[in-house]
Order: sequence, then structure tokens, then C-alpha cells
Amino acid sequence: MKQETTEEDARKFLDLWEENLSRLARDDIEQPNTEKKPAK
Amino acid sequence: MTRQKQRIGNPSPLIFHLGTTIAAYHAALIAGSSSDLANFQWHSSLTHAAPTAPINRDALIHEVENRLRQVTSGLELWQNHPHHRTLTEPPVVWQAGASRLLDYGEKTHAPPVLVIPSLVNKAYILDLSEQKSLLRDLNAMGLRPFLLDWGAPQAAEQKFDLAAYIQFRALPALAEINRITGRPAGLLGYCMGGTIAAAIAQLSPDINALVTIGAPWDFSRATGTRLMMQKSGALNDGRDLRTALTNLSTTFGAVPISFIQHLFASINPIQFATKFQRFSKMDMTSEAAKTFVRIEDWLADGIALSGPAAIDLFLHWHVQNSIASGNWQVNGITIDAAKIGVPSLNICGRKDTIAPDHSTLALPDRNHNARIIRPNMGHVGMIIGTNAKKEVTEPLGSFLLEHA
Repeated sequence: MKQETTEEDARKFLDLWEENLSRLARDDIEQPNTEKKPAK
Repeated sequence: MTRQKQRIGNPSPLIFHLGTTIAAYHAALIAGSSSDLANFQWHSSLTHAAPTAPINRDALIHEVENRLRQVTSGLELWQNHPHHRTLTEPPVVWQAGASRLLDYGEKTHAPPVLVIPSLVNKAYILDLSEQKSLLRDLNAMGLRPFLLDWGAPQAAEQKFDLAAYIQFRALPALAEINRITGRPAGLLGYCMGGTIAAAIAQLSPDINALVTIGAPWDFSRATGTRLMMQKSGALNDGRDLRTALTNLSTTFGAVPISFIQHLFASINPIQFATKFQRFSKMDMTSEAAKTFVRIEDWLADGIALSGPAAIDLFLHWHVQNSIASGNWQVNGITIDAAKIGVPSLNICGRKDTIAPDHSTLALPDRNHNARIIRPNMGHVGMIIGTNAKKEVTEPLGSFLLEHA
């Protein structure tokens, strides 16, 4: 059981690490909605 | 066989992709097993999720090995995949230098549309397969699309800047459409082809409507690695970047595609690893896997850019923000979206990382004749994504028919 948790922790950490690198590279902070004209 | 060989060594620049992948997971090993984990650089939106205790080092090494194996497995599966795009081209109705005009209109009396793609990726993303073809879908809706395929710069285009491409390629192509059909055309541009289309919409009286998809306009709000590249390009008043691009194009005849692909890859360096991991787990006979193969083939099949056009794109547009600043001129006329006189529709993807919506929305913001659609899609997804036909192609086709 402990072994499974350890592996799951490693997977979750690497998922987070990949997402972190992606966001750092793009600095992907949610932008406010700047729409001024209505969509068709 | 020849085409399979072309995948070996791709995606370009492969050494950059592999090196970045190894560096990224090596850093993860160091960070993950550190007792100081929370103090590594986390994006502000993820600091709350950062683990507070070190991860078991053996488990981490095991999982990193798994992921690296998946990356190389996915890469080899793509390189050796038997699927290839097989669509045949429609008739070429006009040609100048390396550029060609392809007639996608079986319905010859249908309203014509000049379709302008990017200069740095091949035009066939707009006609990727029978099931995913913006051009064939528009034809089925009752339009006659003419695709301007810029082609790779040859001797005739080596000195072309973007204004010359407009003056000596796009405008003559438009004139040819007017001659063939005897009527004004709609204009549809994708990516930087959309930015070019907007300039043409201001310059030419021979069009009736403008549609852009993912067309960048304002480069003042760059973030992340894109901001870093912008700042390095601005050093020494841009002279170093201008010299580098000039030297590259002098040496190779044009700025090589590997240079341009390196810039694209820098926008999200970990994307190579994550997408080939995903691919390695797909059923290789599935339609999703074939679509992945077609898109990767297209991404790997970019076009070199003439030196002056590269200086326009990377220095004048990206670094100096010449378009939004009112400093981009074509035929001696300053390009200004406020002077576009035809009905316009601008499609700005909410998930577009190549042309982010804070850049693309600046075009309709300045153009008082503009309508906006904001699909929840990325740059390529707007063309070939699952919902692209319903949320992008059909609305823009209806718009062009309405104003034909």
C-alpha cells in the first residue's frame, strides 16, 4: 500500500512539474475578459 | 519510403527538444527529492499545490524513466507510422515565382474567397484530410476558395519583405481571382496570413469582406519566454537581431525553418515531451493517432522565410510592435485597422498560445466594422479541432456568404 502511494506521489509530482514548466514558459495567467464587441 | 525518411531527425530542432526534455526531468529529480521543494520556482498559480515534503527518490527515478521511455517510444511510433496525407491538390490557376493560387471551387459560380495562410507553415493545414478541410468545407457551403500557397522563397523572393509579398504576390493573386470570377472576393487569413489579409483589406477596393483566424496584431503584452525573446531582440536597438537574421539568410538563402521552429518550441519547451507521451499511449490505428501524425507531419514541414520578411516578422512586428504602433507600411501606406472599410469577422481563440487573444483582439478593437468570435480553442485547433467546423468554419462561411 505504501509502495503504491509513493509511486502515485511521484506521478502527481511530475504532472505538476510539467504543468509548472509550461506555465512558467508561457506565464499563463488567466487574463480578464477584454471582449468589447458581441460575438455574432 | 521517401516521406518516412523525412520524419527521421524531426521534429526540428530535435536536439533542442530532447535536450530540453532531459533537462526538465533532471531538474524534477533534483527538486522533487529536495527538502527545500517548496522554494523551487513555482508559477504563482501553482504555489499552493507545491508539495511540502520530498518525494521518494527511487519512485521519482522510476517515473522519470517511464516518461522518458514514453517520449522516445512516441517519437519512434510517429517517425515510423505508415499513415501519410494523401489528398491531391486542386488545379493551379495562377503562379508567380514560388507562389501559386489553387482553385478549391468545384462550384465555379460560387462567391470567391482568397485564402491566405501563414508564410512559415505550409498552406495544407487548411486542407489536411477529407474530414478536416476548411477549404473543402467552405466549398461545400457554397463558396469558391482560392488558396494562396506562398511556397518556399526562391531567387525571386529572397529580397522580399512582407510588403513585397503583399504587393507582388497577394495583390496580383487577388486581381487574378477578380479576373477569373468577374466579381469582388472575400478575404480569409489564418495566423500571420490574417494580419496580411487585414492589410490587404485596407489597401484593396476589390474585396467585400474580411475574416481572420488567430491573426496577431499587438505584440505589447508578451509574457514568459516570448517576453524574454522580445527583450533580447530589442538589445542594441534591434541591430543584433537584424544582423543575425541577415547573416542567416545570406548564408542559407533564407532564414532556415529550424531557426523558426526553435522559436515556436521555446514558447512551451515541455510540450514536446508531454505530447509524445500521450501519442505513445494511443491506438496507432485510431483516427486520433492518424490526426496526430498528420499534424506533426505538417508542423515538421515548415517553410524558410526570406531575410527581409523575417526581419519584418521577428524584429518589426514582434519586438518593435510596428503594426499596433502605426509603423508598418505597405506600398507607402501606413496599415491601420481603423481604415478597413469592409465588414470584418475576427476569430480569436481563447486558448491560442501562438497568437494569444490579447494580441488578436487588438485588431477588431481598432476596426469599427468588426465582429468577434472567441472559440475556446488553440491556434491549430481552430482549423482542425473536433468543434472547428461548427464553431469556426460554419460561422465564417455564413459571414462570407452574407457579404458576397
